Amino acid sequence: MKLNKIQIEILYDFTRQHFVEHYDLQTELVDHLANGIEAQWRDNPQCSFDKALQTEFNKFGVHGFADIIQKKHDSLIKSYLKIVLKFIREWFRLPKFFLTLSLIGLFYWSFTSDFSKIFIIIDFSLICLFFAFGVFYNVYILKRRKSRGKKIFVLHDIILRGELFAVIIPLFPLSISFFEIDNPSSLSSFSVLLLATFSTFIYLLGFVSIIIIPKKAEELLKETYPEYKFEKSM
Amino acid sequence: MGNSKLYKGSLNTIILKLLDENGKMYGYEITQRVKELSKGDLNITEGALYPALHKLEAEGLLNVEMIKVDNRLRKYYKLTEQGEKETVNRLAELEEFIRNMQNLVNPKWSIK
Repeated sequence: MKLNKIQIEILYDFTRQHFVEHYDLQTELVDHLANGIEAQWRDNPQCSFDKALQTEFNKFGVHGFADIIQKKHDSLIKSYLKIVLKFIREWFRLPKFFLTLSLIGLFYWSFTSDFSKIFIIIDFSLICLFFAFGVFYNVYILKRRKSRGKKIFVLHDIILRGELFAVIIPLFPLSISFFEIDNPSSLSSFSVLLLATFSTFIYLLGFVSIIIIPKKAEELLKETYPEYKFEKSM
Repeated sequence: MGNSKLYKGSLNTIILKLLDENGKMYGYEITQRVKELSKGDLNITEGALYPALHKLEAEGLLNVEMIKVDNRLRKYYKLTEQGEKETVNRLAELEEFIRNMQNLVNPKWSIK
């Protein structure tokens, strides 16, 4: 005896009720539960769907799907970092490398000018505001997709939440305290160059993770998830 | 792994070996195959299997393929080229480990 479409939908609901909000993980768990239920029916055809489902779910242990959800997220964070690094590397290759050098030059100039203190405050404040706006916009898109009942994949969630943002922002005050930017004239040229390079790197990290990658999310999801093409047909 | 901590460290190698032998498999199939091969002695729990599969996939050792089966989608895992090489390495490591353990647990004493 096989599960019908309605029972499959009930299994999707079941995973959602147990806090599996991403379609890729839901799909895999639904197939697993369905296989288990069908195996029980082969041995005991009288067993009800609900009872068989509960028996299968109990096999996941006291934490249910929680460990699987967390570890899936952790695994994909590593994949996400690889994607970010791949995009960052482009900025250290020609022709984009010229832009990177120009950015380092711009930071260097602003840090060594007479108005360096003001420039530093403006630079960092604008970058923070720009990225914060980017993250809020991406999270808004994510929530809108969820509220419209669209399927969300784990990697899509990670990309749109810009999880690197939480790492990027503390780097600014850290760099300020490390390089004693409140007194820039005391810095050697080498320190300023280092600071300019560091600032450029932080900027690129934010730009790539908050602006570029979310824009290319669709493309990246197609590469990562073979089930993405089934999304509209299911 | 329900029954022994000894198996825990070998879960990834078991998965890689099964995929090497069977080409492509899905999660439930892996749990059943292990149970069958170990005559019910070894039980891979769902909570351990899927994180291991997802980790191997993220490391680039596994590829996935989706197939529509009986009103639902099924995710099949198969080895990548890198996964095939890694399987050979991990199996060699495991065999060496077993040999060493045998020597430690059951040493052959001899008088020189």
